[in-house]
Amino acid sequence: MKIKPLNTHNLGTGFLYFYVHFVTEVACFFALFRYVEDPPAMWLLFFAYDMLAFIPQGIFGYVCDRFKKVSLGIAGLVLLAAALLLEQLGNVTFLSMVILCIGNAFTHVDGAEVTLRTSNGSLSHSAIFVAGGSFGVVTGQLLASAGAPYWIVYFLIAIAVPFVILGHMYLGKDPGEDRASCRAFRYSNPNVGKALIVVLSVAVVVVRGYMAYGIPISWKKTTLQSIILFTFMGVGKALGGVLADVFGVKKVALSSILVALPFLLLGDRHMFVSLIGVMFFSMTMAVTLAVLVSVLPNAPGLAFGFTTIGLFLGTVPVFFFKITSLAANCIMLSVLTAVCVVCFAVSIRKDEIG
Amino acid sequence: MNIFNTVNSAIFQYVKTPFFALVAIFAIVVVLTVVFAVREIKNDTK
Repeated sequence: MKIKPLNTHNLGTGFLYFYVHFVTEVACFFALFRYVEDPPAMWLLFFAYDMLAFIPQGIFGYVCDRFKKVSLGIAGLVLLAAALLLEQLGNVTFLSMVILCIGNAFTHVDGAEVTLRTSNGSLSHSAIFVAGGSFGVVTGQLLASAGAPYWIVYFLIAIAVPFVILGHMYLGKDPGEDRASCRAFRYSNPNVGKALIVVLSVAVVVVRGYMAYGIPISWKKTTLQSIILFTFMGVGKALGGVLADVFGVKKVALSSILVALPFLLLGDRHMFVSLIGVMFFSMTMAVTLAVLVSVLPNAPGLAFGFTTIGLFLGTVPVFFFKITSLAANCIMLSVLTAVCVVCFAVSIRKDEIG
Repeated sequence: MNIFNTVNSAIFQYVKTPFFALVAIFAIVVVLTVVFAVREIKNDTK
């Protein structure tokens, strides 16, 4: 099998925004776990948070696509800090949460814009950026549950400011350069309509968003096990982009979905079996984004917004009902895996590598 | 319908914003995102 050498040009943006994404999630989950402690309110808070933070990213992304000089990164970090400050000083939870969600959306869109516009068609940059979130989610929860002081989070946010400035330095001075970078994403099937590819890619994100909550993980009982789980999730997300660049997008997308299934089904009580499944399961994140950018090369921010909308739609059913039977869960995972395989097989172009 | 009534009253209680109004606003945002995407695809095809 032939392999393609990894494109390390501008890979720094991936690592810079890995940290920015990490800090964003730390701030958000630190705040969310500080807002309320009782489960019914928590349920509602997470639903509202998902809706407020995920849905507007398409519109924010589109604004950045149209007005290239608009940079939301710093504004996003300022809003995150402001939200924490409001909660700390004023105890105005609702307003604080709205500001927190907008800050979250801003930093996400900025990270997607910069990593996609500087990657010249490679998935590694955006995959490394996306991976930072998993580590941030668990760190934010841990800090909140340990009763860590607010200044730690402010400090982490302050460190992210130069990261955003540095990240923007990678962007070409000529707008044509950025456009060429996104035009290098050619992973969508040219024989399928672009609108259908958008629908299929969003469908994959929706399905996988829902599947993520259905993965049987009764082994996860301790804090350490949670940390390990989120670590494997993050590693899987980053590895998905890197492996797709080296071995080919279609190969990695299809094989990761299929390989993940048996590990997920058999890993309910076996941590390491389950972790392998979770890692493979997380690998498709960067692929769906790359396919969407392939059909929307002039609007990478909008393409990113579709993945976040899909993620929200995938989590909606989880808020209203949950499958409790292990057998039904396994059947559901198998059926949804088959749906993803079909969607990917139709929407992704045949690999040029190997 | 019960689940929506429960959610609606819970939202009123916690965030004091009508649930359906919030959902409607976000549905409009999703539709706008789709409209922009269709426009982009059409422009790109030209």
